[in-house]
Amino acid sequence: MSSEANAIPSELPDASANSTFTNALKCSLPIFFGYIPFGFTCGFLFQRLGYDVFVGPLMSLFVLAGSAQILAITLIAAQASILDIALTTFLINLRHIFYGLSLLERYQCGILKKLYMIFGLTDETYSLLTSSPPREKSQDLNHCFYVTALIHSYWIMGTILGSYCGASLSLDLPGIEFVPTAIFVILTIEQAANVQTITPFVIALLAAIIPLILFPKNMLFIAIALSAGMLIIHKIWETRKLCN
Amino acid sequence: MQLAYIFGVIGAMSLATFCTRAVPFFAAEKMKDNALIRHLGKFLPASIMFLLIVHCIKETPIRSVPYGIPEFIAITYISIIHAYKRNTLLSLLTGTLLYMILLPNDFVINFFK
Repeated sequence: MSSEANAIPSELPDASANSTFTNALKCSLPIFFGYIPFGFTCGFLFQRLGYDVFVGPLMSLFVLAGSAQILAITLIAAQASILDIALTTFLINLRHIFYGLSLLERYQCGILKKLYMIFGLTDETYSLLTSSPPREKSQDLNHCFYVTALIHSYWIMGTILGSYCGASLSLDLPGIEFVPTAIFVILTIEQAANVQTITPFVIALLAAIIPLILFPKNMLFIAIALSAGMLIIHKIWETRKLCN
Repeated sequence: MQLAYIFGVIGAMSLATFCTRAVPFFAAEKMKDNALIRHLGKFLPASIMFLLIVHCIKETPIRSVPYGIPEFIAITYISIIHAYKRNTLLSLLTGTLLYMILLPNDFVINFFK
């Protein structure tokens, strides 16, 4: 591919920009097929909260975080405070905190473009961009940018479809409220495959018990904090064991 | 509905999400050196995902019909099918469908009579 791109005479910059875009489109197509139904579900569930039909897509435009948005729907339904929702969103998206590390060198560009690409660094964008080798330097930045923008647009499209269907179809699907649970079961299995140990799940289970009994309303936030504490103790304990 | 509230939620979520993604662009060196942060980065997401399941099912009534059985069956099914196939769309669609079939059905209730 790259040798073909080199063969294009330099007086045709548009053609090369076009092929970078087409490439990004091809690359991101599998994510299109995942994000349209996922975004659809998100929009459909959001619509059940009773807001105007543009609000769900607006959230997808400005937030772009699937699992956090799905969870937010359950929190909004319970009229949780904005601070609670923000803290929970932050914690759910903590897994993104290391994504940027492997892209630091590739994201060297103007501040606006860079901010946008950081904003759009979802699980899918990250895995797509890091699982294939970087393109040649002149094209790589545009490739990253196009992939980010395309994935963002798939997410918005899916949400718009779901919101409009939720608003216009008057049928209420009983049981559709199970979708968030299903999504988190799937993500838990993905995490289990990733960490290859049951330690974090045992810790989470232990951390959930006390807040579940004493503070059921704020269970999530307290249990996450407790888990973090226990993981730190676990790490220190393991390091000591190694030293001895 | 309360538009100010929902716009506040969207703004706050946008900012919170951006912050998690922007951290390495400001603190790369500190993050690479700190073993504890790397440990949390690896294992905390797994704990959080598990807690999100607990959060979603914590209000399921288990002392009255249908005793949380549709939830239990659907979660078990999704765990197994996803561990084997690793196809998110398949797991999500069939799992939710299974739950929707089990939920209003007298099958589960009659089974215990």
